[in-house]
Amino acid sequence: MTKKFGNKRLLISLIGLVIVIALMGVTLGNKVAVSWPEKMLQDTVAWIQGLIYKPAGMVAGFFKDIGNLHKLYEENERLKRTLSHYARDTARLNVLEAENERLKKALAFTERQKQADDLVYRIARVVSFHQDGLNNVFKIDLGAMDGIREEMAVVTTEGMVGKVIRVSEFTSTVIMITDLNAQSMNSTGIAVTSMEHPDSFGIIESYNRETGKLIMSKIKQEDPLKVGDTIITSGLGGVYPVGLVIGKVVSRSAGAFGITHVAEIEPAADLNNPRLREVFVVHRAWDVVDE
Amino acid sequence: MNWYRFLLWFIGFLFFLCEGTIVPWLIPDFAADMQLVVTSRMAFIWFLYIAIYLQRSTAIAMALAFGLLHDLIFYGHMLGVHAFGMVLCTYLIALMLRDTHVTWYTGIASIGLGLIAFDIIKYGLYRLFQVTEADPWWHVVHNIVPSLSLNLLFALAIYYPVIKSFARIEKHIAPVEPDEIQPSGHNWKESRNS
Repeated sequence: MTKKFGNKRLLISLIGLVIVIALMGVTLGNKVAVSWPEKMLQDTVAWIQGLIYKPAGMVAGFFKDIGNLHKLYEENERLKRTLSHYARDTARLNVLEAENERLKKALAFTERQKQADDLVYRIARVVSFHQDGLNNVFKIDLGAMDGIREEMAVVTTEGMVGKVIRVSEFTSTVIMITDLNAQSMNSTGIAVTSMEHPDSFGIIESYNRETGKLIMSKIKQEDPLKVGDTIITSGLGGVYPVGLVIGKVVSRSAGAFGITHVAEIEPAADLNNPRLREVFVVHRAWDVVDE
Repeated sequence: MNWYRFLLWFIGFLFFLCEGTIVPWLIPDFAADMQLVVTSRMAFIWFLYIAIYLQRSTAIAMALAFGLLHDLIFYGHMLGVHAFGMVLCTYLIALMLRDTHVTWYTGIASIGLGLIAFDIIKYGLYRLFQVTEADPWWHVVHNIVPSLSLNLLFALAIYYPVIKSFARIEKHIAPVEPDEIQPSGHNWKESRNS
């Protein structure tokens, strides 16, 4: 065996090892531009995956629906009640919106500033899914041709699930927010605030796998944030638009050095087993103007 | 490319597609409630089968190609982890079992060993590049062990059809002596290929 594993083979394996480690180092953090062969490969494979994913989900959904029939009545009741609240809120919202519009006009906002809060929700179909606890990504069937750019937020009806990291012509790859990690230099946090206390500020930088909670840090000691608040993106930093729901505060405590506070956020979207069919890619209306 | 080699690659690609599309729907709900992350490695099991029962070189080439494909398609943090880990594990398992008659339990156990080794290499690399800071033991309990059990079930399920079809392929490449019993495993490989 030692003879077979001779000089030539040893040399090849060593060179291979060096190449692989170099490849990992260079491509770390997803900063390499997407080349056209990669785009073609991504689009082709994702297209085939899309052909399988949807029917599989429909079959799985059918069996689940049978099991869920008895829950439907309850849910219907609850939704009807919510609907009445919704009608009341809409009336109030219309008044406020009209007032807001008038004030913006009075203060001479530019067209761009006015549109800053106009969000576009693009519905995208999930075509495949990969989850292994270290690298959690899924692919969607919208790409550069549809105006998708890197760093756009991806949400479900419950809340934020991830961001777009890699875009080819017709498909793109989304990384989930469970892969946020404050220790990694390639992970960027999300600036957030509280829906109940709009003055509050914090950054979601990591996800604690063991508890299944997001960690919100850099909260000032005198910050009005309270347990039970709904956490939304603040729009500060300019990467994510304002107002995307992330989760609810379950606890708040002093941070590691006692200067700032940290809070644990229960994610609104089920990040462990999302079984996603459709997601929304969110961007500001003026992010994609060339269409 | 011979028809059997084309078939091997095609099935490998099918398994790769299934990993990302069908399997997520098959994992029961309680896995998510218990914070378990189950990862299917159907394609990798297929390479290991080929490495153990058919032909090492094909298996390694497939591990390299599909590892890179996996890295590219599910490019979250960096490229090369799957390619490197799969090739290394496939090679080591094939080396370990060369020139031996592989019974079904040795085969399944080696596949399990390959899966564990791959998961450990992958965790190590992600940890090395500071992509994750998950506790190793927590990762073993919540990802490696549940994935391993699911993947071994899959490996057992496809054992019989795989062995049957490999025996046919073997007969096609190298007709055996009349007194030899099918499937023979490794005997023909080194001598007749080189």
